[in-house]
Order: sequence, then structure tokens, then C-alpha cells
Amino acid sequence: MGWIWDTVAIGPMVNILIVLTQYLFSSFGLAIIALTVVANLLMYPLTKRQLGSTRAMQTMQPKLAELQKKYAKDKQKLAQEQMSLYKEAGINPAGCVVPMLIQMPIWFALYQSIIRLLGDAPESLIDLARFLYSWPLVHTAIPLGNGFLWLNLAQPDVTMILPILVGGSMWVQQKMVTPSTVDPKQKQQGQMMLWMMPIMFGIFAMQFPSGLALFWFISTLIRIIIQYFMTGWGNLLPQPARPVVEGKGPSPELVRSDAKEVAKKEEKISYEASGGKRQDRGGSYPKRPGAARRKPR
Amino acid sequence: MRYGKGRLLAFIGLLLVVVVLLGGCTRTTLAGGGSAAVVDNGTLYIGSQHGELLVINAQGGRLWSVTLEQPAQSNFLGCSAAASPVAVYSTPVLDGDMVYVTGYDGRLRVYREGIEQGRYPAGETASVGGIVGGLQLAHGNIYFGTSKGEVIALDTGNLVAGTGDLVEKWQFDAGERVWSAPVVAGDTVYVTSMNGRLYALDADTGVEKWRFEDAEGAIVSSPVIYEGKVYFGSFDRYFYAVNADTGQLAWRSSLQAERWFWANPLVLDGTVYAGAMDGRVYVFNAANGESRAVVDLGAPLVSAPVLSGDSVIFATEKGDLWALDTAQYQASEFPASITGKVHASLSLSDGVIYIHTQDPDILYSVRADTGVNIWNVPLSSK
Repeated sequence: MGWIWDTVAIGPMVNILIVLTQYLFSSFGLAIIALTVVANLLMYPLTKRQLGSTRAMQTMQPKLAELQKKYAKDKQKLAQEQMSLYKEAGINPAGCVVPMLIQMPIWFALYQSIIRLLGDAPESLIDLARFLYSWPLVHTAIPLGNGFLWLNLAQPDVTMILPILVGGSMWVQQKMVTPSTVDPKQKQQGQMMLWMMPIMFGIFAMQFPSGLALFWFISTLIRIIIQYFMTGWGNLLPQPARPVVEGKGPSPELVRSDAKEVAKKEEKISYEASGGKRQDRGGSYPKRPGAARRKPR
Repeated sequence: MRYGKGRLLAFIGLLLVVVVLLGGCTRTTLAGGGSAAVVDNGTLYIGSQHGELLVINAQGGRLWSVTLEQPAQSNFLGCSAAASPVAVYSTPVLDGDMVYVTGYDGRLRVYREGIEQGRYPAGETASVGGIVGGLQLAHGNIYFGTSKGEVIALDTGNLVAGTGDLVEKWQFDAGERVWSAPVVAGDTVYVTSMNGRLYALDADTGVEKWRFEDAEGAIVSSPVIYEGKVYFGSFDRYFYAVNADTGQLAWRSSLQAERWFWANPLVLDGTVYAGAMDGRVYVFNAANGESRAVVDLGAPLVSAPVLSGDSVIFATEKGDLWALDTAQYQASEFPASITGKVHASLSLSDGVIYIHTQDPDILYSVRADTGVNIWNVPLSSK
């Protein structure tokens, strides 16, 4: 199995990275950036599908919340109703998972290839030799230069700039997709999701070779750009929270943050429901049949 | 998106799996070390994979050992880690009862009977960059190359006299990692570098006499001097012979190997034996580079061979021992059973071949005439 993985995944990536380095001013850093961009572009259809599914799931959440309230005690019925809802809306609940599963081996291959090329111990080079194709260019290119901007790609970034960029960019991406809410429970869980991965990867970036941190940063940056073009800044910019709707009252679609608009809508509903008669807001005398009206003095 | 407890736990679990996978996949291969053995009067001196300098007798018994440790270093949180062992790649060098050994921590240490007599550079944290290539002792100096691309010459006079420590005589910037051992012939030091250059330096002053830079790939193998020529293989998969006085190309092999030349070649009786990482031994006429034979041994050749009688003994990376007959260039495999990777050069003394393997860290002894195992000793006590 390892041999298959090395032949199908690692070998091509390693050789492509070396060739790119040679053509990009002998800069391994530029080669990492270039291959990360190319890999993201090739996987764009999958990424687009994944983001689309995620967004569709988010818009379904109010209706799913209603169903969960309604069938809280009947899990089987709940599952049935949920599936019906997905079917009506044409959404595949696993739609965001399948593209991710397809992409993961590609990311791991790119990841492992960068690792192998960053190794600077003799054992690393000896191990690297078995992946090289017979192209003359790849044999004479080794060892690759490890310098890129202020970085030694084989060592962690001691200036902390790259770890901060890694963590910060991940936070931005998470923030763009995390929906706002006033429900305390959801808010807490959302906050945990928002901060956990950026902090974790920021810490990784402090310890691992900066070539890997560069790869993470560029990957996240590309996803932010793709996300922006698909869904805008999302929840990155400040937005009022949407209340969770319970029981009676206006349907979720009518909930608006603007109270005046809510009032206008409610008035319109009430007017129509009363057959066109305006609500008596007070200030007039009730009329009695035959009652005389006093003449003014 | 509403996150139920179950989903959150699943997400955390998935994150932990990713962390473990990434953690397991993010380490570049660690420097393991594992030097060849040097033999003197039936006593072997060798560096283990766990940073020990070991002295072993001809029966495999341990006489003494010392651990080469680098001092504790703070991590990014300011916490101190424990002192860690040093990877030892270069073969120790003997000078009387002094043993010189270098480590991947960038220091040279000198011992006598297990007690440190001197070190370079001085100071607990000073380092010249990882030292991989071997040492060369000549003219009262010790020469070695570093991963920072320097060739350094140290005067051993004060140390030998017991009046002081090693003194730096000169330093030369070779421009890229020097992972080969310098070779001294007459008053010239020959050294190769991973920028594809062969340098000839004045042994006393370090001044460059000439450089050969026609090789297109890195050079890791130590050069061999034979009848006025310098022989070495390169990562461009060609083998070279250069005039030792002028630095002019004598010949380049017409055959190109499929993978790098890494191991030091062996030259004798007008014939060059060069093992490559494609598993083949390329046999050339030393005078003109004419190809005499190509012998396929089936696995990469990383360690330098030894001559035993009429045979050149090679060890492949996966531990197969082969004897190549110098008359007919026929290879026959030894019956010896070796487990582990063979990267360190072979050693030969009194009809016994010594093979140091990595993973596991074991020293094997094999009869040179029959190829049969004699004993093996695990070198790592941890």
C-alpha cells in the first residue's frame, strides 16, 4: 500500500515541486506557493460544491430547528421529516463531506512531498533519491535552497510572523462561515469552533518547518478568496444576530432586524385579516344608534 | 449551523485525528547518525546512532563509552528540554591515544580513555553547523567540513602537548554544505562540496589553489587521489577524474548512472570501482574513463566499499554483502545475514569486515574470506 501511495502520489508531487523550483528562480518557497495555487484551482469544482452544500445547509437550519422542536421525542419521525426536507430542497446532507474526502489525499500528498524536500539530514536525502524520476533536472537540483524571504523553510519561523498569519487567516475563514446567533448555547459552541483550529494551527506553525506553515497559509488564503466570491464576507463583518423563533408569531422568513419594518408588516397582516378595517387605536366616541350630538356653544 | 454535543465531540475527535496524523507526517527525517568503525590493534572506535562514542574489542566486548550530548535548549514556550544525544556520522580519527569525533551538533570533541580533552568550538552552545563528512589528520592539523559550507583546519599541537586546546588555523568558505571528508595529499587539501565543486586548498593556509566546477550536481562522496588524479562521483550521475595539480578535467564517464553517486569510490590497480544509488557498480579504467563493467547488485549503494584480497566488498543499503572479483568483475553474494540499513562505510581489519547498520543500530563482524557472520553487537544502550 505504501509503495502505491509513494508511486501515485508522492513521486509526482516531489518531482513537480523540484521542477517548479528550478523554473521559479530556484526558489522553493515560490514553488510551494505555485503548486498550492494550482492544486486549489484544480480542486475548485469540488471546493465550490462543498461551500455550496455548506451554505445550503445553513439556510435550512431554521426549518430544521422547527422540526427538532416538533419531533423532539420521536427520533425516527424526526429523521424521516429531515430527509423529506432535504429531498424537497434538493440538498445532499453529505454534500460537504464527500468533496472534502476527495481533497484530503491530495493535500496529504502535497504536505508529505514538502516534508521530504525540506529534510536536511543525510537520511532525508538518501530517502528522497528513490522518488526522483530520470529527468536530469531533478537530480541536479538537489539540494534545494531553503531560504525564502526571511524564512528558512526547513526550520520554524522564529520571528512568529508566519504562525500569526496562519492562525489569523484561519480565523478569518472560520469567521466568514460561522453564522451569528443569540442563542447562548449555539454561540458558545460557535465560538469554540471559531477559535480552536486557528489556535491549534498557529501553535503547529511555531514548531514545524516554515515551509509547511507557508503551505497552510497560502491554502487558507485561497479558500478565503474563493469563499468571498461565492458568499461574500459572510459573518466576518458585524451583523445583528437573528433571534431563534419559538411557537407562534411571525414565521422565520419575516423576522427582520428593523423593528419598524416588523411593525409595518404586522399591521398589514392585521388589516388584511380584519377585512380591510383599520384597528381602532382609541380617541373616538363609540356611536349609539339615535344618539344626538351636542351643538357646540 | 446548530452544533449538537454529538457533532461537536465528533469534530473534536476528527481534529485530534488530524493532529496525530499531521504530527506523524510533519517531521522531516531526523538525523540518526551511525558512523563507520576505525580499527586500531584489534580495538574498534565507533559512533552509535544514539550519540555514543563506543570502544569495542575484537570480540565485540565494550571497553568504554562516552555519550556526546548537546546542552538543553529552550523551546518557544521558554521551557527547557533535556539534553539530547548527538548524531555521529563521521568515522572517529585516532592520534595516539586521542580519539577525535565530530557530531551533527557542530562540535568536534577529543577524548582520551573516555575523558574529554578538548573541544571545538569552545563554549556550551557554540556550533559550526552539522558535521557529516569525515575527519582528516595530517601535518599536525585536523581538517573537516561543515553543513554551513566551511572547511576548517585546527592545529592540534597544544592539545597533543597538553598545553592547551585546539586552535583554529584557517577556515575556507566552500559555498554549500560539505558532507565529504577532506583528503590531504602532499601540501594540498582536496574537498568536495554540494554546490558541485572540487576545491584544492593549501593545507597550511587554506588559500584556494584551484577549483573544478564543471560537475552539474552536488558532490557528497569524498574524493580519492590516485596517480595524480582526483576521482569522485556527482549527483549529476556522472563520474569524474580531475588533474590533481591543475584542476583540469581528465575525463568524465560516458555512462550515466540512473541515480546519484553517493558512496566514496575505490581506486586500485588502474581501476575505479564506483557504486551508485541505482544499485550498480560502475567499473572504469582509471586512466581514461573507459567503462569496463557495470555490475548490478540490486539495491542502492551508499556505503564505501573495502578491498579484501582480490575482491572489492560492497554492502547494499538493505544489508546484502557482495564480493566483486577484480579480475573478471563477477559478483558473488556473501551468506552473511545483516538486518538494517547500511549507510556507514565498511571497515576491514585482520580479515574481518565490520558493518554498522541503522535501525536497528548494530555492529556486525563478518569474515572477509567466507562472508560468514562472526558476531553482532547492539550499539544503542537505550
